[in-house]
Amino acid sequence: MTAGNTYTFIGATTVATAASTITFSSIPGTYTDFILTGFARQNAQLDSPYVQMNGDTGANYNENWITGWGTSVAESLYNGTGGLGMGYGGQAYMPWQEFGANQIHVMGYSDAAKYKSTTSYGGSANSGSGVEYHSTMWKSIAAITSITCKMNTGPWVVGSVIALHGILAA
Amino acid sequence: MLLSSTTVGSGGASSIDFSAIPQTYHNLAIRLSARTTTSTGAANLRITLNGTTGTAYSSQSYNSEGNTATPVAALETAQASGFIGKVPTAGLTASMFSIQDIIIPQYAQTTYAKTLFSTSVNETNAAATNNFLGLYAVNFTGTAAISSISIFCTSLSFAQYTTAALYGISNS
Repeated sequence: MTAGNTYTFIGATTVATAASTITFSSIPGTYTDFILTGFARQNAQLDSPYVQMNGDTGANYNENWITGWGTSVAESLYNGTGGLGMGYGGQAYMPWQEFGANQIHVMGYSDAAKYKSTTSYGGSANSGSGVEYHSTMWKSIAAITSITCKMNTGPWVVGSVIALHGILAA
Repeated sequence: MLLSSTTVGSGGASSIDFSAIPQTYHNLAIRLSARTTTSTGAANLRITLNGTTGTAYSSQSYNSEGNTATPVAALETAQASGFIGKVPTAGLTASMFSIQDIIIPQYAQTTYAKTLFSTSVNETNAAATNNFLGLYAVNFTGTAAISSISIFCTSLSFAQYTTAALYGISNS
């Protein structure tokens, strides 16, 4: 099966003026999974974009992640966080043209019998940035109908793009 | 949408190339399964975009190898190509191929540089070494839309049955 039969465009946002959040709402429940792909840049060093589901800002997210930046490596488990990381993006002190590449895959997002498990990764190649891979969970059985993309520090920088695609029969 | 795919024949191939990439998608995705015809150990998989070499690429890598307790990270800058994974060579267990899953968001925009991300798995049926689980980010300084991609292992050839597929991820 080719991607043409599985990936369906739902929406995209290009940041024209610095924005603290990017939100996709009224996500249809007609797919099995969805994928959020980022071309991301933020103002802070070693900062990462993250997402929240259905406007839930509580400590209802778990993350296990690995990361490498420069020659440093780390891994960690955080339970009860306020969102799900998407990996590093571009950083403000990097050349202005450089962004990060990020992706989060949410399996069974409309399945009302399960907590929502996701995988995500992202990174950029410059000092002060790096690569990350996350295994994450939103501890809710609610179908996901909206997703909000945020930065830990500062806004999404102009030129950042987030695209949402639904996947059928993954 | 599958844009192009290739399977290397019995003569091997020094590179896998995609050209005339349409500019009508949001993102590109590449799925690769590879092995080389010569050498030993695991070879470094590299990428160039739009035929550009020079010093246009920076790569951040993270690799966990075999049963080594501590992963290894590295940042290389001002390179002639980007580092996107590890590939088994002829010296490792026969019939074992790597897997690379690569995304290139916003490949057609012409204002900013390009960044790609690759997840790479290199399983070789050996306990200690040459099994790699890797993450890679590559920054390419070019601002032109990406219209061609070349993937290679320096001075090596891809073995028969190496496969690669290029997908466009829709924007409407």
